[in-house]
Amino acid sequence: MNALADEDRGRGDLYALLGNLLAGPPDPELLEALRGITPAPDDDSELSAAWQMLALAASRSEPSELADEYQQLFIGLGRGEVVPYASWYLTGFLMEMPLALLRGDLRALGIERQQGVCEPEDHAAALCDTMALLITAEQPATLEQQQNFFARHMEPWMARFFRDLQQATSARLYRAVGYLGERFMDIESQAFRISTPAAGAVKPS
Amino acid sequence: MNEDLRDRKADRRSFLKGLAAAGGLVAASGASQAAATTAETLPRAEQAGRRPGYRVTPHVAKYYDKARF
Repeated sequence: MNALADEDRGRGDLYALLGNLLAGPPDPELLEALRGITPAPDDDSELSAAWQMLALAASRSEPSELADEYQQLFIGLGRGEVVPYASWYLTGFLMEMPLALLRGDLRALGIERQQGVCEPEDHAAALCDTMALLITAEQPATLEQQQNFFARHMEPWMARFFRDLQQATSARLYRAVGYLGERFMDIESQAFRISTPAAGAVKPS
Repeated sequence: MNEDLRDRKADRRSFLKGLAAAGGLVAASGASQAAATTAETLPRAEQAGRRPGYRVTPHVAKYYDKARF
């Protein structure tokens, strides 16, 4: 049994939560859990503020409204207000070179898409889930592997995606999700730089 | 482990201290476990039926085969 450090457990949990919220609207059970999040009162960090915003937004949301919100944000008629794919953000088109590079890296990491699934792997939810998996697997990826994956597939665009989510006119709960996500991406970027001085200078594999 | 690496690990742990507490919050609330339950324990067909339309399947986590790690 792998004993994760508390901070890595926190990272894994947060990635899993973001992956869940970006994959679809929260169900009533998850919405109730979000409402119950209560940060420590003496914590005045931006991350704590993000948790408070999320809990408040969840307390003002109803599951039926969230389905509409998710639909308008990510699906829409033709396309949603925000397009949650790396290829779109990095090239302006879907299923471009960033997806091909990602698939190569996933193969190298021993991660594969299950049969019968058509959604491209460069969806923001898939990337968050992959990071959660890299961190919390029974044999987790090394910090360098995590940093490499983050730097190559998430850092170049996901903070921008989360900012767009905050500014989308349909966003209510997802405005808070965007704020939390942007804060977390910033924390991850800084933490990798602390632990790996060469971070940011990762060579493609 | 050399001293520099040890220092960097300590710096990172210190920097992420708030995240450790926040992660505990999420875990305690069950918010992160919802995803894991969906991805790991529900039969694939059931999951596929959860969010019809845009997604062929409800949660992208199930795209990946954890067993190969």
